[in-house]
Amino acid sequence: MSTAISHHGVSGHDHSHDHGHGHGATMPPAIGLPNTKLCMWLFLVSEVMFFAGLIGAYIVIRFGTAGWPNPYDILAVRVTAFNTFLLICSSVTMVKAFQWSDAGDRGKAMKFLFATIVGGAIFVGIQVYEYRHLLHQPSHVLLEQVEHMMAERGMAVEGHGEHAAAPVSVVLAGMGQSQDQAVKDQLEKLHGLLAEGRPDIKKTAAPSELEELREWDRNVLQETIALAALIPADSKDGKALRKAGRHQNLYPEGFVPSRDNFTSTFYIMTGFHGFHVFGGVVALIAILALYAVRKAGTMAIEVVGLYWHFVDLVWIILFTIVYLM
Amino acid sequence: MTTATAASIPTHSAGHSHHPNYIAIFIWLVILTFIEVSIPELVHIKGVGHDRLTPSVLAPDAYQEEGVDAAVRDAAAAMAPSERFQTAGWAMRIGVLAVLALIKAALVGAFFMHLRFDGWKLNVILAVPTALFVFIIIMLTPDVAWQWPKLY
Repeated sequence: MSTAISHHGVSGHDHSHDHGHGHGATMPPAIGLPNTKLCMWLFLVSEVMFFAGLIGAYIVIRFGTAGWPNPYDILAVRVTAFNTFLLICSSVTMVKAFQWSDAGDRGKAMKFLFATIVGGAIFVGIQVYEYRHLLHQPSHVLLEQVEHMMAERGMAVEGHGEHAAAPVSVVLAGMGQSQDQAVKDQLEKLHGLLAEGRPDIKKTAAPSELEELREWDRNVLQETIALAALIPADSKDGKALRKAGRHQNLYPEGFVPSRDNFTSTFYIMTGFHGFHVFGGVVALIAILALYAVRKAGTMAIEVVGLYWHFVDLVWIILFTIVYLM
Repeated sequence: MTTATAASIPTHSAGHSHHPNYIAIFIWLVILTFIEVSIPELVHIKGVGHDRLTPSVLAPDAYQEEGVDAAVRDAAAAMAPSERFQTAGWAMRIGVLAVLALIKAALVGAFFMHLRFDGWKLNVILAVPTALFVFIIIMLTPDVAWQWPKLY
């Protein structure tokens, strides 16, 4: 028991006896803080400069690039907003673990540590899911939107059984209204194009084959614009169609890192942060295990907590500049 | 055993173990995040460079009469580089978002990381990279100022 609590000593006079191996010189705490804590802060200071480099590069690239896409068209901002919320929650559970350990309630401290680990793990999981989704070709999103609009109008979608049947109420409502034939024609045209799929041609293919690829992209853009022109911009479908169309137009091959400045900065910044979260989760698991067998005390929880809050703090900045600006 | 431990630990020893109301900080962080996320959803600035290359530049209702060809023609015209940013509105949105993010970061640093309670010496140490961080950003502004007129 004494090991666990004597870690607390801030005044320092009992530090060298902590682990019963206090031979050699005693280490007085620097600037009134325990050395472990100060060392973590010095590490975090170097981390600040690391992220300063990334953010600085981002600013120059961002303002030096014409036609930066609207992140809202490409990224699932609401999902990431939830992830941000999750990280804030995990910061609270982290600090609660420290508070309970400080108060001597090891059981509650371990529960909160575990909750922090779960929060961090879910954060990383959602980020992996986000990456997988982004790397996928976006034309299926546009296709789904088109099929949704066709179903709303009671149109049959061949070969896609699950989308073909519109709810009866929708069909009846559609029959009551004056049918906009132009919209239907355009929907069918675009659907045909999308259903046939983007030609599976590698970037290294012959120029003539690449031209086929580019033509498909061009046609999809053209037909999407034409369809968008017929649908009110502020309607739900109008917004969804434009969003899917912009995504398809900008990243027909998927949101891959090599595509443009937005994709490369996105992956390097969120990737490095995600890697930090992953490292934090591993460290938290280790600390929890050591704490459970009383090889680590409140100081360990406080110090790993500093790292965890720093990762949360960095995410607050990154989320704002990458997803919202 | 735990009770004995709890009794032997002062809850408010000097420069350590000061626990502010973490839940209140948490609620503030959530409120600020909600405001932050709402801003780009609510305040859509038309003409921002984002939308320039894309079908959204069309005023679709205007084409319901004119038809498809006019829409495509005008979309192509809208892609011309002569289109300009509405810089003021965009800059204002970025400014508000940046201030909100900095407030949130300060809350996390001050309360969750206990910077408010760990003494001024630690804050002096942290002031150095913070100043360097700001310095890096300021150093980069000439580059941004150089690029900006060429692009927009």
